[in-house]
Amino acid sequence: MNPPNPKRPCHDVTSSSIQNPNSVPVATDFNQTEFDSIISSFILLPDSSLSTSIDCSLDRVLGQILFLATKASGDDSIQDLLIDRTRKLALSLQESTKRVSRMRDTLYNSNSWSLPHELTIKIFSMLDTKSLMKASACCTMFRECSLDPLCYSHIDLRTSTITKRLSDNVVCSLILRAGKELRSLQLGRVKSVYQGSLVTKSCLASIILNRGFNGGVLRSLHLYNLKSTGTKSLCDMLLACPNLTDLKIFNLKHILVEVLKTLTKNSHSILDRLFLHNIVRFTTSGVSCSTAEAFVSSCPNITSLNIEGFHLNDDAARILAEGFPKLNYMNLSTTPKLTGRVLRDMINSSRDTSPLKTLILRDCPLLDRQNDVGQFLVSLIKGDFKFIGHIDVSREHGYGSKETVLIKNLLMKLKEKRSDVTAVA
Amino acid sequence: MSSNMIMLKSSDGASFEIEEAAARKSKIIANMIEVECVDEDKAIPLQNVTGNILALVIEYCNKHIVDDDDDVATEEASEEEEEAKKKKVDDWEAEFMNSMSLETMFELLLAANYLNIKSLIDLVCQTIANNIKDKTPEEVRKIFSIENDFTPEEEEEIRKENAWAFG
Repeated sequence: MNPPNPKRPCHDVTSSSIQNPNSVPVATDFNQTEFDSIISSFILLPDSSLSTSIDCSLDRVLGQILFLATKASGDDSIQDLLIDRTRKLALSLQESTKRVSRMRDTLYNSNSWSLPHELTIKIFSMLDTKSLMKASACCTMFRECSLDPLCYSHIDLRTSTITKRLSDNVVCSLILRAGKELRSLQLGRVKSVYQGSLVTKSCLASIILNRGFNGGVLRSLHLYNLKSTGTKSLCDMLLACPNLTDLKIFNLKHILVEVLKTLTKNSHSILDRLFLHNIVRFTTSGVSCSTAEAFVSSCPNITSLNIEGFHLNDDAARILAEGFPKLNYMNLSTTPKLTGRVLRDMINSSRDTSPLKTLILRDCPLLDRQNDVGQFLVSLIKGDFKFIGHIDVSREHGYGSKETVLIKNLLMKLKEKRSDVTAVA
Repeated sequence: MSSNMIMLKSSDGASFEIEEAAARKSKIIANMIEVECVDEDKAIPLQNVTGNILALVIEYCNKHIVDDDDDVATEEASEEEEEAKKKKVDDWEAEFMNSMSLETMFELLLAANYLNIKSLIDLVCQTIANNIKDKTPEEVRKIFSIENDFTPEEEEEIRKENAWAFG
């Protein structure tokens, strides 16, 4: 291709093409090659002309074109059209420069970050969700990789401060991005107790969306201090997640019975760890024995059970303590109705068979230390409950001195006989 | 355990001798050994791995094959011993990655990917991820010499969409 003479006067082309006075007088009959070569010679103008004469030349040529166009058509308005058109050309050149410059940056990035997308996605999948979001704002390649569902298998949106911008919409869109890859989700304000976070009902709904697809492979769900979500939406969501192995709801409020009943509905539950926790004191109906029995028989895989701060009576507690064949961790702290009877029952029925390793009954005000806790410790000293490695029956406000002496003696004996057991009383 | 030695040849012609057990950390090489396309006298040519990177890969494999042996020998090791050993490996891995430039890390990751050594892929990916974690986009760009190739509109949109993460 021969570059045309850059000095070729433009008005020759223009004036020769003015045929129709109603349209803008433009050069006709250009093929692509000629077109490209004109642009290339314009862009490749020598540096010397750029610094000295380009402005003058542009002014002169544009002025001439306007003059000749009006002269040929006899219509002044043709000048407006031409000026408008020249502006557009200038803008095109500017936009094109930006585009090409960005393409150059993109290419440069693929050299500095020389990994295939699959590896970039693997790296991104190891980031916490917040860092991932920041990384996605680095460049187009990162953005593209950051949209892969694999990056969202483990969504961690636990916050310690008020994050007003973390709205339901954001959470929903992240859950939907994960699609079928969603394996674990942690949501809510960890530290706050009384003030719920902004995340509510509708993000639970987004888990239900595509039931058996999104929720289907969700294994681990931790919810902290959510704003009142409504019993129904919470239970619906739990039903949509048949493969949960790890469920933790911190500050559940008053709906323990409903949650247990919902978990019972799932006939092949593989639930392994259940943590339900309540802070606000509600006078609510307790868990009935039949509810507890149904729950126990439908969740045979539970190894870790934490039901803190609810109204659970001795009978229901006994069913929970004895019903799970693999239970090795049980925490029923802050259960106001719990007396020591549950301990007595456990000694009678499961002292030889219980797989429990850890038993925690902190801050249960009705727990009878003298008789029931004492008996339990005696049973431990005798070598019952052979898997127990840790027991905690302490109380924030302490106990009477008579009780303390008795328990102290038993604890010392326990330490002698079973050095592997740590006991807090 | 077989103590057969295997020769590996890098793309730039350097030869390395490595125990078969260590080489088997690479699924690709393990497969080659399985189907017996390894001639005892001939080196396995690895077209995509340069000598300096292959040396690192072999260092890693040797270290971890020793650990695997330990596992077998001390099956009844106590939890504490297990923990101490794990810590030793972790420390070694941290030291191994710490002395490496990002450029080398990328090459090592590509080599591990090509040779299919899963634990090494995970290790390098995690190390690179640690370089991104908790950083602003500007900081990440600087670390990896990446240019901002978004249009202003795109960038604005992403920032708006992820505003919660920039708080």
